[in-house]
Amino acid sequence: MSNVTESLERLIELAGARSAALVDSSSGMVLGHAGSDAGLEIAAAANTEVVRAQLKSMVNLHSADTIDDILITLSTQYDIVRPLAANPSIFLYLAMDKNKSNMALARYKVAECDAQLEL
Amino acid sequence: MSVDSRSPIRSLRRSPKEPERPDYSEPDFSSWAARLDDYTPAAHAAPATTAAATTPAAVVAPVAVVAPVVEVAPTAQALDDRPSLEEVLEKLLSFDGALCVAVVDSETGMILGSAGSGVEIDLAAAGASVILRARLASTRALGTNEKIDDVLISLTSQVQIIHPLPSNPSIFTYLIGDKAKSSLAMARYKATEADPLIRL
Repeated sequence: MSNVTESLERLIELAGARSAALVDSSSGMVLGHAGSDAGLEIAAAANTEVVRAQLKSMVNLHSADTIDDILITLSTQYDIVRPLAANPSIFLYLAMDKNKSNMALARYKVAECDAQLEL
Repeated sequence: MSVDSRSPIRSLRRSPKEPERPDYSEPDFSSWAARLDDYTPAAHAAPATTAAATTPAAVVAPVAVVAPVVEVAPTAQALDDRPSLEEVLEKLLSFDGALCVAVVDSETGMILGSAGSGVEIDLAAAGASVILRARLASTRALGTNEKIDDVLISLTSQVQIIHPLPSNPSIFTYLIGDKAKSSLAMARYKATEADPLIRL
């Protein structure tokens, strides 16, 4: 088990990582962050919208599924959004440089981080 | 065919003879009736013998019928050699574990074409549209020119891919696969590969 700061620090150590954050999707507030990214707050809010939309869509579909993760590929960046298994309204957010990072590895690390995180 | 299917035409012909109503002037359908004779392929076949005496227009019909039918054929052939949207969707559906694929307009949330089953695709597409719009709005808010290449969503039992078309980012291909059977990377590759084939 590890606390929020330790978990985020571990994520930001990944090759190509730009910023990592823990975000509450019910409010859009950043609970903790690591790395330097000027647009982190806005990016967190943006991904909040994405998570909310997906949760709402699954309610509409009467689906019993939960979200494992959402990977967003942009022109120069990968975003990984992973709602915590223990509390799906809170999600881990990792932004990475597309040219320097390995998405599969990062995805695995975020999943690991989710399993070990203690709020 | 003929007597039954000609009856609407007869009623059209009769209509001008009906008593005129003061508040509504009946359109003159007589020219329409003549044209209907031209465009109804069977108009000359049976009626030519049965109705020739009563409807003089039918006598003219046999000559006129042939022309429009011949002209239609070349325009029906696609000048574009790309496959139709249905064919592309069928091709997309070939990835392992595929449940459903669709091409969706994110501005309205409406489906332009879909294939496959097992999912309420209308609802799912509407949900995916909201996700894409939310993300597009935020990239705009950030003031960057970042384009969304794709959004991959892993659920407990499904994987979903939202892939905006490079030529028109408000339209996206939407792939839903069974998580246990499909490879996210392969499905994503298929979606990218289909981009230049999609013709709207």
